[in-house]
Amino acid sequence: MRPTLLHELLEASAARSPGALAVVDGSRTLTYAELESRANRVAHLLVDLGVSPGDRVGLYLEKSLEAVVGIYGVLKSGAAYVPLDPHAPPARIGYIASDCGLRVLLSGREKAATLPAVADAHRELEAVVLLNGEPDAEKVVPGVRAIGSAEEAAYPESAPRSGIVSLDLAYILYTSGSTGTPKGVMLSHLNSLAFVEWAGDCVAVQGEDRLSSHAPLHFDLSVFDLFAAVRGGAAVVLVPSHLSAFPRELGSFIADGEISIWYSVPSALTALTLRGGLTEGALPRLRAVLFAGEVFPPKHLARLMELLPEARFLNLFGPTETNACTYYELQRPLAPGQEAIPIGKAIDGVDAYAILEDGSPAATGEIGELCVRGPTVMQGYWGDPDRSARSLGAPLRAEGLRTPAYRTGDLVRRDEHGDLWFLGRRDAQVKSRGYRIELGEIEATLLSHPAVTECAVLAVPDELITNRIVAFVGLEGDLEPAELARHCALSLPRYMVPEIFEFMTSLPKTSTGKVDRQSLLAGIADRSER
Amino acid sequence: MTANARIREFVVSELMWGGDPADLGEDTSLIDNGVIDSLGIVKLVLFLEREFGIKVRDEELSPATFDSISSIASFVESKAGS
Repeated sequence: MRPTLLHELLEASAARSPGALAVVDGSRTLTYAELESRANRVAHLLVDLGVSPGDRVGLYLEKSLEAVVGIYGVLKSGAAYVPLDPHAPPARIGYIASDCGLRVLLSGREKAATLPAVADAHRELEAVVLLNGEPDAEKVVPGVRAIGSAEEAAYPESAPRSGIVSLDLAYILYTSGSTGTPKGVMLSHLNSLAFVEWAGDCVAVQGEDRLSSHAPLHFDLSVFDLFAAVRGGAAVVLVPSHLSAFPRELGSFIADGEISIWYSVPSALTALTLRGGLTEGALPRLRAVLFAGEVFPPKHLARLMELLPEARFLNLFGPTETNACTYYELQRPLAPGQEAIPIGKAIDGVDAYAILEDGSPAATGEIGELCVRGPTVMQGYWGDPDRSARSLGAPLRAEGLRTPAYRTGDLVRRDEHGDLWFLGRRDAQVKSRGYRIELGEIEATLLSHPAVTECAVLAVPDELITNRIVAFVGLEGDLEPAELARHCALSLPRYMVPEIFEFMTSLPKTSTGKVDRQSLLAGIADRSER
Repeated sequence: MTANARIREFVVSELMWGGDPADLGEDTSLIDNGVIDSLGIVKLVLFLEREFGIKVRDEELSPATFDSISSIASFVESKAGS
């Protein structure tokens, strides 16, 4: 039977190969049978807590065996999961929890210190389920029911039936919003499956494979790791997040973990290439390397392709709103001096096309905005029908078409082979280490500090992490950069906190009175050359 | 200022220790608290090389060495003394 819901992938693999490894988390593992039965128990527990189809349940814990159990448990209960960045400031977690109305959080003992602050920022929280232990009596949050693993273990391990359909929501991924608050991208089971089935077939994921899970769970790259692995009956090996800081350890991890399929942002692979101490052919098991989220500098990619002579390399492209929408498989060898690689062609069943400013289709060679139509495209932004309608209201190729198209904001050009090339953004969205950042959200945060009178946040291109974030700030009174950094860290995730604060009495302006970003950027470039 | 104090100051002001500075102990895990990540390690190594006149080799970058102020300080002292 063809699966129509994400958790049916797990049910099928658990029936087919119950004893096979499903998840590897350091020395701890889960087989498919164990993952299936634990997820079923969590689902029954959630239903007992009053969670019903259409509800949202938050995941607030470190990536772990339990987090994977939690994701499948939420899906099996009929609700949509909302993965929260375990390292984001509690105020931001509270905002997201309120925005999508989370009544129940699946969490872990490691979050006990910050849970009270989250509950304080989100007063509608009713229950916290700890998936890896028992709640400490002294750390109980007033008014919030705390449930531990012992209670979960009492629920049946049979699969519950929730009555949801493939068009119902599977998860909401929050991403940086230009107006100062994060926005929730709603994806249905069908949206996710359309991508997962394509990707699983494209890479031919099978039972012998071991997939890396490098991206955090709140990042859309994790969708491939979590669901394509389970669809293929393969093992997903959780990569400890700190390994990105230690490229040599990362190389050993891939070798020792016998990873056969790797998927991550290019910056992790660049660090591995430059500082991982890899020798040619050192990772013979690694047969496919997928990357997405930012541009992979071709000279580092070419070197990595030399170090991994047998592996396939695939560039996946697409904002969270579309899953991946295009892909390009690299051909060997990369041409010397090649300055960019294409983002390629649309994935199966998806229509990816470019439009000009006036909405008419861009011809081959013309620069246009990328628009995407098809089953992988999101349902909209949670609680924001106006923004959803704007984003999903791209001009269609022909009048008779009914399926809406998403305007990506990405500028692309199609070459004579039909491959698309990414050229930049229409707006102030930038990438840093693969994370998507709206500079406007950082500016809104800076302006919320009473001493800040004006500001401009700029992205300075960087070869290793794509962009560094620099803030130019006009001040009234005295302020230390570290104090402003702490102010940002109260509401922004770490990767959005500017690295450098430049204080000025006033910011340079253009003749129309706008902040002169070009001259600010030129000033940075001058200094770095000295 | 001792090596520990200089490293501590750098962690608080430049690596954006997010919590209350009073909670940052000599042995607090910088990795578990998300302070040492792919960007943090690069900044920290540049700082150590400049501040203490040492050279950090790629193979010396290990989680055990770079997890806390005290472990980083011991590393710096062992390098400076060698």
